[in-house]
Amino acid sequence: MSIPGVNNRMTRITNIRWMPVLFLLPSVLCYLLFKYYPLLSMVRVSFFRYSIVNPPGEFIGLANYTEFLTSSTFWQAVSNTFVFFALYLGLTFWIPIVQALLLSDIRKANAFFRFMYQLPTIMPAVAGVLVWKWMYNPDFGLLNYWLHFFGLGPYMWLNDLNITKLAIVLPAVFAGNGISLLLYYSAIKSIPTEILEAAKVDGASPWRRMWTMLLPNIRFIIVIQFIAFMSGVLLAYDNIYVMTQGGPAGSTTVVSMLVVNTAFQQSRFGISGAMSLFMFFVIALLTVLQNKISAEKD
Amino acid sequence: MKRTRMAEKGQRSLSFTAYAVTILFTVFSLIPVLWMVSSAFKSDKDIDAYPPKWIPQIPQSIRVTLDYSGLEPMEQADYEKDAMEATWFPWMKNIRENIGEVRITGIRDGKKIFQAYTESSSFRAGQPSIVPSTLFTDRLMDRKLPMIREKKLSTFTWYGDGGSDVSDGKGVAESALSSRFADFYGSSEIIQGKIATIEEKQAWTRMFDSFIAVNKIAMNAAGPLGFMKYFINSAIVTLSSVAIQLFLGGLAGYTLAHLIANKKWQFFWIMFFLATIMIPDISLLLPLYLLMKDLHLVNSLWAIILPHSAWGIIIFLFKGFFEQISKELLQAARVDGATEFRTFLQIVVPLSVPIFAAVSVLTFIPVWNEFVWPLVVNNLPQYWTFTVALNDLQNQSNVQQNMIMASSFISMIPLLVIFVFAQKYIEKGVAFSGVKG
Repeated sequence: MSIPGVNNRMTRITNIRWMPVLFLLPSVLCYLLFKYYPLLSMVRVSFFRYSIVNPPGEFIGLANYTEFLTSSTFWQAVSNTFVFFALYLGLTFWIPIVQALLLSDIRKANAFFRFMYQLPTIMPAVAGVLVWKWMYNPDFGLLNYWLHFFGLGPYMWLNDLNITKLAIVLPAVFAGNGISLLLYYSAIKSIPTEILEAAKVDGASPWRRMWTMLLPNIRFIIVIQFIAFMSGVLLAYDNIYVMTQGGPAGSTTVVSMLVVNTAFQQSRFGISGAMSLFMFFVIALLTVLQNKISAEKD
Repeated sequence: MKRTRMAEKGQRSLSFTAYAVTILFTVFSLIPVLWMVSSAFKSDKDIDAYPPKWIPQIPQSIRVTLDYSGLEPMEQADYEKDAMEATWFPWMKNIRENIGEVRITGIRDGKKIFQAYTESSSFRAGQPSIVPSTLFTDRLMDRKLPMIREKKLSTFTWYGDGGSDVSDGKGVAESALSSRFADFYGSSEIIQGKIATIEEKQAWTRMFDSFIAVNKIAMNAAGPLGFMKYFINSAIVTLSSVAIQLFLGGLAGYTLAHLIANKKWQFFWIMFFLATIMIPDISLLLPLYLLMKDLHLVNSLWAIILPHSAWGIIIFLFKGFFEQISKELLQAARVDGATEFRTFLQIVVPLSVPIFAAVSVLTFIPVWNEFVWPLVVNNLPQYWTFTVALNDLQNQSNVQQNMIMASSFISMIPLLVIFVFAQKYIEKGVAFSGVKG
């Protein structure tokens, strides 16, 4: 140890090995404390009939799981969740992609349009929902007012079992998704111009270039966005809660709403934890599946 | 220039479609925003009007002259009470109307004896406690008069005998609102003065009273700073969260990209961070709350800030960007004897301004707009962020829609400013951060 050269080498080795640990440690601690510890305590709670007065209460094994898996309310909520997923996918997911593709062709006032696309994104969600509640008002709302010019309506947007789900998705169609648009647009702009020029020389029309050059080149970011979109939609809560509180007749109650209601209204934390664990696995499974599919395509 | 013009077949139809679709989308997406802004300046009656009204109307100033001639002699306090009843009661009765201010002038034997003045912001802020319902009694005002004085909701100027002469008025103005006020005075057993004149004028300076009223309500809850207090809280929370994310996320992203040679370990740590994206935030609400309680952080801004230190996507973005920095450059710095931390600060950070800017903005927005967690973890108004305050405002039974719209409008401004100035950086950072594949 007293030999200078060896000592020097030792410190260098420790230097190289300890720096990453030191750099990662704060983040690792934060993730353990604010993500993994709460997650594990949730898993633990899901095996108990939780009692606030005397936590964690009585151990009941898998009873929480069997209870919600056999309840029709839960499966109704699961089906609602996936109907919402399908609606959002069909009506909203592709919108920022189309917007970005078309925006990339716009020369004049491009920055202005990009800014305008961001406006709905930066509107506070509470305010946005309030405005839409007014637009949906059957008596004096804007939508029924416009539709009556076409001889349609009046519709009971938020009280009609058949269209309430659509009414919850519709604001997202109007507002688009400013951040996603920006991501797609930046991805398109970072495609090397040589490729596009080459296609141009080969005689590909602008429409064709968009379809066969631009779109495939942003596939990676579409995949990433899809993962975020999937978990976002499957766990959607705020907008549905403020718009309908899950009504009418449970037609817009989704699983995340059930999770919150059983925990904070009925104080049944055990079963609530069990249900959110179920959602965690569903989303993890879908993400893995989705990764597999897109990997195979490559 | 010439070549592109003649060569491109289909360019015209594409450009046309691009402009048409883009304009259509921006117009549609602007409708809710425009409605919010215009509603901030409207009365509730106009907000619920059919067909919808887009242009706010100028509020009315109502000037009432009450004549006390021929009545029993009264004390100054009695006049004041009468003036307050004549202001607050009929206003409450017409609460949805677009009233900007009410002035009551008291005359006796042709001389002006007092003047009382109330603006709409004071009425909106004080109405829930002063006139909670339309059950008006003399006893009610006995109890409320001290509150009006203490909170300076109405001003009352007493002239006594020194008042000037008053010329004969023109009677009651011909409008629905004035005649409803006149009817109220005529049928009221409570108000003693006899109605002499009612004038109506436009008071455009009262257009902004929904904003002032929001501030006055906030002053009652959160102290002298008013709504500013919520903004300061939101700003502290957002800026600290972004700073923590930049520092911790940047260090961790750099480590993952350059300092871990072992592929297996690298993969493990990436999954360690990235897997947390799939944990539903909502399901962590309760365990996080209990954790904060154990740490004695409930009802503090730290409770909102700290969980933001663990956002999986941040590290992922940083890692993607840092991977594009050449290893040779870093190696050169190490050979020169720089410590890893110095290499990071003096070489990596200056090269990575776009990703730092992008991450700041991408996290600023959701943290600024965050709602459920601050609502759950802090229940004292002095620790509220503006979203919680906004929701509270919406839940108060007596608060009007225009005040909610006004506060939403104010809360958009910081984000608006950020977007105007930072748009370039966001786009650059996003383009660089590896998401292009």
